Amino acid sequence: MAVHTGIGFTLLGGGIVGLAWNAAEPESREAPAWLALVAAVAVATVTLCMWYALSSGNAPGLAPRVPGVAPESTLPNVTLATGLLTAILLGWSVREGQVSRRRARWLEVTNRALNEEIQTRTRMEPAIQQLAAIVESTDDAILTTTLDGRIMTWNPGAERLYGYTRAEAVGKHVSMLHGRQHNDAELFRKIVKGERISRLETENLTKDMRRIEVSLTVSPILDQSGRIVSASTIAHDITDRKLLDRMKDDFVGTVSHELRTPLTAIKGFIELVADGEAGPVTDTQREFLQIAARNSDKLGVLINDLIDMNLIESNRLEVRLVPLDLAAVLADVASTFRVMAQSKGLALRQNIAPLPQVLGDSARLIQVFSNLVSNAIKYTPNGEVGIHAAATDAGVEVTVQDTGIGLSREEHAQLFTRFFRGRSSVVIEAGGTGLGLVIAKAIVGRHEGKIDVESRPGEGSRFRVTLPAWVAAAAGPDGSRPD
Amino acid sequence: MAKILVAEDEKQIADMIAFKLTNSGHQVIRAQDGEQAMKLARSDSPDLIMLDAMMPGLGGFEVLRRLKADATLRSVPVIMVTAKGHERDVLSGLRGGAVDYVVKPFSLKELAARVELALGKEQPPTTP
Repeated sequence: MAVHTGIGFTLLGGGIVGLAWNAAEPESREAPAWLALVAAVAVATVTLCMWYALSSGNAPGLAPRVPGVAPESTLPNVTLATGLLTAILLGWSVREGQVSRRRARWLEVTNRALNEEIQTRTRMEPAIQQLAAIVESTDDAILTTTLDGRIMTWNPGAERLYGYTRAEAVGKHVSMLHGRQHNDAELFRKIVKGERISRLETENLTKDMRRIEVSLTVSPILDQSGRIVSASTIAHDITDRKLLDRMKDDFVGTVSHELRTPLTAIKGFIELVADGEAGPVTDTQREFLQIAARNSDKLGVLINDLIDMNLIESNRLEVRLVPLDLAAVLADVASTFRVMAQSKGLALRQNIAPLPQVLGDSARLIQVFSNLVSNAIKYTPNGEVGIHAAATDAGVEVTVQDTGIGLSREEHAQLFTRFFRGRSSVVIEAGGTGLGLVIAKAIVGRHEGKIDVESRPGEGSRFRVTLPAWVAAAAGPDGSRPD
Repeated sequence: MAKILVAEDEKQIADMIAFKLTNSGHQVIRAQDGEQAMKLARSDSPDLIMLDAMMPGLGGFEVLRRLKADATLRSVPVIMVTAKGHERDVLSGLRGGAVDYVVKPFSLKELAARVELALGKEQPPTTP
């Protein structure tokens, strides 16, 4: 009876293992991790049950057993040993099977990845070679550094610019190039944060302690997972450009002084004679002297425009912003140009509403509106010129409107580019440098305002300048803004 | 009639200014450089000084600084004459204690008007 019970349990155990096996995903054919354990436990349980059944079946009616003596007591023990051994072997083999299958799969995946990488590399090889050739041949210094500034790579451009060979530079700290002009720690802090430093113009030191001026672009280098691992630096030598800039500035400064002094004498002596301070003048003489005076004024404007243009190009146009009443500025401009308008038979209308204060440089704003109004008068053969100003949500809007020759689409597009002048006979006759509007735009820009134009040929033009209102809390105590 | 010291190294410009101011009824004394301007300011006690910013040797701004540092000359109004319209020059002139400035090329009528204004004007407190 006990033997039958044992066999029954064995079948039951086998059934459990079989069910568990089937429950595992059929496609993967890979036993789940717990299967080995279940199988082993099942076999072990069956064995223990059989052993119990066998030994209890023999027990009743038997004299107390003497170990190793009773022959009928060996069967349960053999069964137990065999069963446990089977359980261990079964567990171990299932586990081994799993491990080897997993390994095979891992190998397969790795192999596929390797193949893909080889293919990618093969595809990228020409591109990499090209990039390497560019890095090797450029005149710019290109170097990579660790995130704390140690030099890792150093191209021939860097050898030429700084004088250190690759062997000398690699492993050193970049501070050897920087002198004390900028803060390395600050720069690398930005890089670590993922920021890029673009065209930082600074001074560097060469191996022979020469100071050179460079434009630096420093960018973070990321690894495949997107982590910032190092920094690349491109240094462009701008020593010559800086020298040229300085020479140009000096030249413009000298020329403007050298032109202004004789012009002062010309203007002044013409004035003295024309005003009759040096003796009586005939009407014809006065008329001729006035022509000479007007032309010397034009020369004066040209010189000022050239100086302003130089300031704008070198980003040194200064504005001194103070809270001011734009209505007063506009009234001033209107009164200056009233005579000029009248002499051409044009009406000069002004419609200036009460305006909020704006932050502005009055001399510069007078320059802007004088330019717009004088252009309007110059390019309007008949009709009128209007100056309108009104408060808007954001600040102040000033329009200078005329009934003049207007602008073609082509002229419109180029209006704010330097030296641009219209081609009509009116424009040519009126004269001008083609700098006024460029300067006006730059000045308005320094006031954080905008200038635009609406115009059609023959229908006049409408220039609109918008300036932000002054909000007292946003400005410094004197309303000035740091430059 | 006022006594006006004109410090200007360009002879023709100085001639021109002197002519205009004399015609306007003033007495003009002339200096060709900064040192001479300092000397004449002390010896001739002018009522107004016109200083060219760019003079050889002692420049106009330096003369201005010395005038304003001198207890007896501090109260004499100074008009700066400059060939640079730069904001910075103008401001350093005004901060240095000049009452006014003119930028070359200037109109003589305007210059004469500014002279009259400066002669009539009370001296603003100066910060040396």
